[in-house]
Amino acid sequence: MNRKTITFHEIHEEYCDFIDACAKFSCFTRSEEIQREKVAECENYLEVIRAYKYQAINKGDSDWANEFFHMQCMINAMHSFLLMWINLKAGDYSKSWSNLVDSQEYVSVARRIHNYEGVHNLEHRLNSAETAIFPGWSVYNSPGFLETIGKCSVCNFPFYECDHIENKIYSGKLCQRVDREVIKTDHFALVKEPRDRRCIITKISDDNGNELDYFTWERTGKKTDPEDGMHVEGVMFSIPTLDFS
Amino acid sequence: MSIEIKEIETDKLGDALKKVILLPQNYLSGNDLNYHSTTLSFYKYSKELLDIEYYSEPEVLVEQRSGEWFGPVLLLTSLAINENPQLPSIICSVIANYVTDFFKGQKKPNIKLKVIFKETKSSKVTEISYEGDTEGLSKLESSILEVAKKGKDSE
Repeated sequence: MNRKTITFHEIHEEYCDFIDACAKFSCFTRSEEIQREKVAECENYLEVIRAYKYQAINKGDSDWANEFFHMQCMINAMHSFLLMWINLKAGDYSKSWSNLVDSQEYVSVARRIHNYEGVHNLEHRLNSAETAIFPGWSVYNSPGFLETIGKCSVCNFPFYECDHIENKIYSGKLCQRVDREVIKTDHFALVKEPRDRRCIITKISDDNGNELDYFTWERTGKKTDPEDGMHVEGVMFSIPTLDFS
Repeated sequence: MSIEIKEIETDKLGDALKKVILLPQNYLSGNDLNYHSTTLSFYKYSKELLDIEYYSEPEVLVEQRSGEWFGPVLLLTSLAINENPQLPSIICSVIANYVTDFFKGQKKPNIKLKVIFKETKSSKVTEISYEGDTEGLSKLESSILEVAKKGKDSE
């Protein structure tokens, strides 16, 4: 049986071409249909890159595993960026905002491994999209709660027992505490710098008590009593589901 | 950057220790103890660099979802500083390095943490609350040394 071998250089070239092809469609005016095709291509290509990463992990080569993890994060960033445009066109602004934050978080993890011009360019495009498209928030929601310790995403042991450190990358995986259970909610605060920028204000009331959609500034039809102060509605907590393993 | 120093009354900190102790964030309450969620990773990171241990086995964590880094509550005794006068400096550089590593690729956060200093002979306890960036941690180091010196002078 003939087994085809491929060098890392060839994989990397293919990856760079793929990212460039996706970047070409990461803007508002491009066809939504082609953007959806690119999203599907990202999902398929992620499987390929993950397969390479697991080969490296199985061989105990953490440097190569991290190289593939960097690619995984960048493809995921591109995937989320494309989804941001698709959801924006569909008028689902809340989802579109979450896609943007997902993409920014993928880039920030990718940067932990490599930081080069391509990463900077994508980061710059994401930040530009943020300021040009979305209204900006002066405050975000920030909950505080009591929770269990949970397990380690790297070794799956109880996090108290292992030696892995949160936010460090081990052999192509980002260490996080997973399977945590909220025991008790302690408080909700409005903060300028939140941990999770998905926790946004989505509705507020004006001086006359009319509820406004924060994205569109349109009245929702709901009326609140201005005597009760400003009415605010928002995302209080979101469970992170990013692909870091 | 701000540093607040106050004396506190407590008999819950146990005997004098040469180690750095990671305290629960509600260490004054005595029951239903819970730790800042940053405590475990900080312990794992610093245990190779410091003689450090938990006050009790952490079971419940307090997770604050603001962008600030709520560091662990650290207990230092005069005995530990007498043994190793460089300890405040080592602790502050471990904190600075940890935060830099933890937030690599992201904007560095505002740090909020407390250092509890216990005078071994008099059992006087002082709480030093720090809020600021990694660069300001040298001021925290000076504050710990100042509190330790005052305690020594009053002996």
